[in-house]
Amino acid sequence: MTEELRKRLLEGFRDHLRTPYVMFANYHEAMPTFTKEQIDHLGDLARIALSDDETERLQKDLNVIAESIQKVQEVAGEDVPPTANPVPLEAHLREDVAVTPLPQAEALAGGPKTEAGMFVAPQILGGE
Amino acid sequence: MASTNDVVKLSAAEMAEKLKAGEVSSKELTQAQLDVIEAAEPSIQAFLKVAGESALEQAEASDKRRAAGEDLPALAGVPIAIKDMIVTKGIETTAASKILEGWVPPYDATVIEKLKKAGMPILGKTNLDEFAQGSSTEHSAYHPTNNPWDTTRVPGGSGGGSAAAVASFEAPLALGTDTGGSIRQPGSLTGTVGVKPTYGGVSRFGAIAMASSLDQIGPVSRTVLDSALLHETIGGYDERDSTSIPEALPSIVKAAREGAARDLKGMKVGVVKEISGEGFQPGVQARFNESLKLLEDMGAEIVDVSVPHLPYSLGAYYIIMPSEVSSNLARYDGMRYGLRVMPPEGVPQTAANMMAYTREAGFGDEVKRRIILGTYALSAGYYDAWYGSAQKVRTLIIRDFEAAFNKVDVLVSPTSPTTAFKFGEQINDPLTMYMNDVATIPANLAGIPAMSIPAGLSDDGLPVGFQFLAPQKRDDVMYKPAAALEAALNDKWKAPIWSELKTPWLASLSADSATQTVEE
Repeated sequence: MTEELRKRLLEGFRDHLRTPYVMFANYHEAMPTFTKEQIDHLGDLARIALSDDETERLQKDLNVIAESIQKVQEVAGEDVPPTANPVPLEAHLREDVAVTPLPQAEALAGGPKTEAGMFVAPQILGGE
Repeated sequence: MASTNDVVKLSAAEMAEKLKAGEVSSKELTQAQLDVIEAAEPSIQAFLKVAGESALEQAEASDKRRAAGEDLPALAGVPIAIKDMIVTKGIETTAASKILEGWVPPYDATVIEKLKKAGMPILGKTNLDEFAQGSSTEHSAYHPTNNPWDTTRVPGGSGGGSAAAVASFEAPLALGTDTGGSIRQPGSLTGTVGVKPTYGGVSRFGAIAMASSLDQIGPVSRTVLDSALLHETIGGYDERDSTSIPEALPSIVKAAREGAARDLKGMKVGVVKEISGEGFQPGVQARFNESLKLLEDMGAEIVDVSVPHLPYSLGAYYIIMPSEVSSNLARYDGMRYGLRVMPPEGVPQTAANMMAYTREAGFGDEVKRRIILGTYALSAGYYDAWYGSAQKVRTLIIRDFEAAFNKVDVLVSPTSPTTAFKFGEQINDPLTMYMNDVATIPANLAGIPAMSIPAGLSDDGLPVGFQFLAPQKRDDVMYKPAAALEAALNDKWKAPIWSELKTPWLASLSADSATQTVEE
């Protein structure tokens, strides 16, 4: 893609970019909101052992994205109901009919470690 | 049987006719597709896994059903490729992620059950951006896929594998998944047809979940009628998907056939003001305008329509999608399937640490970024400001579309702002990368059906896509003008768009079949 084409794209869709433009164009100007400790905490919550390098990159990304949120809030007035499912449906349940579930052996077949018909987990409770 | 080269260039509907007439068997067809796959894969790399043996078995079974006089479904015997985001019993399914490497699902997705019932052999699993997160298929943990029109360029994404397989004649049909444009944008970049059905119109049971309120399975093909046939094969209510619409599908194939008559009198076509004009590559805009003129020539009335909140789509999408990604991908915990990586020495060997090291090793950069962003967006204290606001924007966009569809029957736009870009060109430029989906994301947010069809080649010689959008549950409404435009364009070009595609990978095959003919 030529630089000219890239500029055309970004300029031409300026309105759409109000959010993502702020999200990504101003990486370096963005005011830092997240600290390294907060990113580490999010890594803990998401159970991903992030490397220092990754934490640094994510810190940049999230700080820029945080700025953009205000744009979405611009139009998200109190009188606007949220949409979770775009095609609203009445909650419905299946008929209470017995069916054959996945056989135990098949359910276990993809497990990284199994024994005696069970998944084997590393130590869950307690410390060292 | 005709030569491999002739047979694989047929549309799925034409293949079905030949199967019905007994001119070709499903086994011959399937073998021909497997031959093309073998010849094309070194240059295209559309597949993660080819399932030749089971495909041939399924083809034989389909031939037997036909020989026994069974009344078979429309596409019986026609082979198909499946995006590796959809689970297939007995065929390794990875979502192009290292975290699922080697996983063989113990069950079939509902759409796969339907294809099997319809007697359609499954050729294999196609490449994608890891967990369908990306717009170029460069984020696959295994290998990139090359665009058949220019192998130095991306095929789009996330469903670049399915689109490239269909464009290069490796398969007549494929299934994709579309969360923000993952079926339509690759369709646009590879000169193929791609359809995102109404949300809930095709069961998602067995589709690996990315963003559950946006994900939808849909058809990939070379013609509009083929997509319609496949759409009717896979669509309809499924009690195993709680978001599945408990109603019959509209008459999609009928609408596509009607469209081929090229009469659009009385149809109102709205050009979406917010996704038109300056931002598009000039060659994309030119093909779009020419197609509009063709629609007008067939009797359609063209009007400009505004969808005022549409410019908030990208922002809302990049909050909702990562939030749902972070929740859905929590299941990859090293316990029940996929990768398990124990912590290094010196770190307590606990379950929690195992999960953290497994996910660190198993997920790629883009996936991690979205999980962390989503974890933040959903965390206490931020939920309302982020996810809540984005869900409100969604309401506004749905209302806008409803108002627009009170004025017009269908809406149109170019599918993608540019033609296929080169490898590496956007991978470190997320802003430009995310812009690929500026015209496709709104349909996912609103749950409406949308499709992309080829509108010709830009001045750079690369395919351009034309997008139709229709009201919820009215997928039939877009198939009619799409089929009409396709027929008008083919008439203008005197041949389908793929007649312009250079296919060096087919050269060796034509030599082979010529030899075989001599020997026979």
